[in-house]
Amino acid sequence: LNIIGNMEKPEQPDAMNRTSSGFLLLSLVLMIIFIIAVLMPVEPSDFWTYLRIGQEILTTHHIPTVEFMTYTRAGQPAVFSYWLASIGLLWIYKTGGLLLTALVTGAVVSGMYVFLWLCLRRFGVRPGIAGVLLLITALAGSNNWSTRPQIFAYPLFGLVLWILVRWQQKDNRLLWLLPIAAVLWVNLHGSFLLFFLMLSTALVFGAGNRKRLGVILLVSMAASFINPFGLGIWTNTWKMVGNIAIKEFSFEWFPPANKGWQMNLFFASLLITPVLVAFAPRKPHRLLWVWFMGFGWMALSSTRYVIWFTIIEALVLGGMVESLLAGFAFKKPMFTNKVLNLTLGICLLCLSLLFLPGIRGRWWKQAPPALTDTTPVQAVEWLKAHPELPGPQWSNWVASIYMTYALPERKVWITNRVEDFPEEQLLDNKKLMRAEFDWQAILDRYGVNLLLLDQKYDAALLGAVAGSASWQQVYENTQSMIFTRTGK
Amino acid sequence: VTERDSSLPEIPAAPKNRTHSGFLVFSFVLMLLLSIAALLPIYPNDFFPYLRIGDQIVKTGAIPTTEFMTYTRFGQPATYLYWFPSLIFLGLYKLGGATLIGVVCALCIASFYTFLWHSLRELNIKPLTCGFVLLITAVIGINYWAVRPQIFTYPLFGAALWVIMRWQNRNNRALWVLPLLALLWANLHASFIILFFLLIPALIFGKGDRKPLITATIAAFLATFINRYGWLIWTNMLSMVNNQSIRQFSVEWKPMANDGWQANIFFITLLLIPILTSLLKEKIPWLYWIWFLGFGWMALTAGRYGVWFLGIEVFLLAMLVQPLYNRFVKRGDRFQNKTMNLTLGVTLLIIPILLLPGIRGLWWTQSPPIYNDTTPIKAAEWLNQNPQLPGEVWTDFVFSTYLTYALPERRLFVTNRFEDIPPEQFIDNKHIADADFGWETILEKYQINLLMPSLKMQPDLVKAAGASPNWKEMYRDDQAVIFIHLLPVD
Repeated sequence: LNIIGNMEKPEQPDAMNRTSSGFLLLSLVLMIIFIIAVLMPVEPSDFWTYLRIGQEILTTHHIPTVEFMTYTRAGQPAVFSYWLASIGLLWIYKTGGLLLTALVTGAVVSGMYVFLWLCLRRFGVRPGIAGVLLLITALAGSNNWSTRPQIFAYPLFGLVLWILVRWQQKDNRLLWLLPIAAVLWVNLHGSFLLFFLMLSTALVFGAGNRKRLGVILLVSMAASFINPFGLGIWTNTWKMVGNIAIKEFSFEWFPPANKGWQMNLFFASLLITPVLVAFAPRKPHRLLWVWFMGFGWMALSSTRYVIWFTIIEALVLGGMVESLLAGFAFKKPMFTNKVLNLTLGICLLCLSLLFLPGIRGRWWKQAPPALTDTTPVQAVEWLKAHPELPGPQWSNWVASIYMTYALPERKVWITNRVEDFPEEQLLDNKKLMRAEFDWQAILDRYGVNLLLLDQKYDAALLGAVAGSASWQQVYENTQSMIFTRTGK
Repeated sequence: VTERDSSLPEIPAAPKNRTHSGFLVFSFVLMLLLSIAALLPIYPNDFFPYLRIGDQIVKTGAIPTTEFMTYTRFGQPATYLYWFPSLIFLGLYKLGGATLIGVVCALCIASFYTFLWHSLRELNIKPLTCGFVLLITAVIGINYWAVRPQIFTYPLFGAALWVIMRWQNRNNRALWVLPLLALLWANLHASFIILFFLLIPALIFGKGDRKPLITATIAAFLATFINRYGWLIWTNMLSMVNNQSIRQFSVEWKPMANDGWQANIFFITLLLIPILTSLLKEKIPWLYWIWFLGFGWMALTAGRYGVWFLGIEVFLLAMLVQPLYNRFVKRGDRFQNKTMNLTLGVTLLIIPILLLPGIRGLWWTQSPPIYNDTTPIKAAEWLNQNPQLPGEVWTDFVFSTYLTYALPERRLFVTNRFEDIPPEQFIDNKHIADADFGWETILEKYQINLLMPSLKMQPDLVKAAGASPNWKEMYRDDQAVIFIHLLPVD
């Protein structure tokens, strides 16, 4: 059997390299990925809070140790482990606004897929097949591209995978990069656990030089302690993974269901894999199967892990599809003019920049907005101009998150840091969202005097408040309404 | 490598027949499955409304053509495709109560797995492998064993598979059964299209004699028209599958998610199948992969289709596990005493009988209840004794399904027949159940004067009604509370 991932000398079709047709195909796919990534409006959910945290760190010159954005949990101990990502996101936003934010998002997302491309090419997958696989993989994972700390981990994941694939093929030259990746990852996002998951499984099941990888794993482990929390980063991450409230109230932690085209692609790939295995002449190496099982289980347990699995799945499928199509598709080199290929490839990549927010509006009248329709920009501006209105205020989860940065003067009811809040408050939040019978009593309990409601997403509570003598409307636009207490 | 079912190593048939060790393994597996089936309580959701429909058919001498169990949709046109299982359930229930229902349902499950066993044996799968994969898939599928019309179709599905397996092995003698199965299936449950999902891929990708199978398939197709609704049964079935209320509000129509231990095993098998496939030297024929893709997609799209997929997955798992078994387990017949095997096998099959509802209570003081704990027996009795309480009643969804039969004098808000109820009413139902803002206004809209929420499912509504000056608590037990409106709506 020709085992994928165990080839000492990967096939690199000379014709492809000579003509740079691979670059052209990669550019085409990257252009699509980049355009999709930058066309997606910034989801407030996991963005604005980090800007605020970054702001707090820069203002106070230290990482906060207590909750400081809400009136419900202010002063309670809290761990802000994504401190580097917060500072990074703030710097990007302050430097180049939403344009630079989108550019960086597109770049880091594309970065991961570039590494996947390199892995596939190491497996001897031809550019045409690699391109199609890359595109399908990217589309299946596109639900996870929103701007948030996690995206900084994507290129690191790709890089680690690429280094391990090279190591698997007896090329140890880039192993030294792994501890650096570990330091970066551990300071950027809690998903650094994946780094050690990949390395330790490679050490046990891989085909490369185990001694070297073992040393690198130990060094990386030591490197993971280089962070403001030291060893505590590990315990804190474990706590977060096991947090009941997160699992119960955060949608992205729910197991995925076969709904929507992205999930359709993900589940279809699960069904297609064994069929391809059955008929492909080349079978994946056992290391890939171990990753397939591990990442597959994670993806099936929680939607947020799907993106990691899609990358592993592409590696599993890559060599098999290549061997199945060896005699049929992409037999002849398609684009043979090197200069044209290079020029066209660069043009495609440049073309994708036209879709950035701030640029696309100049040539595209009905361009998608840079922010989601859940971001209450105008209402918050109005609130900013009316500091005399008495708080505390309640707004839905998404609006609260936006306000953490846009209106730091007012403490909010809740943030995206689900782990900071007791289950009771999260339940109360749900009840308020659908205006349960005792909505007024809940608001009274928290002493809420100001309401910022979304006309579309808070329709139930809006109906209740509008019909109540205890509240009066003080502001309205097409998206939001603001109410204050009447004292009745 | 050639594609053939017999690609898996042949097993010597003679020792198996001599010792009946296969029967012993089969009996053991069946004993486990039947014990579980017998111990499962009856869930009201998909059982009592059918008793009521059966009752209505018997009383009126005709299959109803309009909705008759609710006050919200009373008199609206409705199709009762499941008239036949409704009559069967009613007859069994009247004849032998929950015990006979339990016996018949256990027999349906037993025959399903018996057919699967024989189908696997047609593939030359060894008894221990058969037993292992059947147990795995059965354990995943326990949730599908509830007492409901669908259960009658399991043996039909199993029989169809068995017939196709024989046909794959060039044995066409049982093909005549297929039209009969189609006839029965079309009259029992809307899932009769599944038969054709088995037959059409077999026609294209199977390796048996296509001509007789084509004839049998056409005859089976024509046989589906022999029913109360004629060819309209196909359009009714399709309109049910696409019904918005069912899609939006019926939990079993929602896509499967990896939640709960059965789903965990289901998804683990999905991850394991490619790995096991990579270890297999022989090729599994296309037919099984096509079924795997088709039924797999159905199962991932709606939880209720999982049962069919498991029936297909069992073949793949068996073909994948068998070589591992041959490799790692020493050959040789472990159970060589024929008399002992037969005696032990029969004894094992008797055990589930002792666990049947109505029988287990005779020797097991703390035996599991016959009815699921969501069945409001006492509250329904109280309501029955108080017919003077005015107005319409709103109850928890499961309570409603029980009341359709237990208290036919009172019409209900909804039943399990989602297709009869518009989505807006289900939204209202949810608002009431969650005591959302305006819940009392919604109750007024439907002129509801009686509330019967479940303490477990509608704690907020119980609190809301308890706190409202408009409602007075009249009854409470450990399951349900009954409130009456103080100013009855005219």
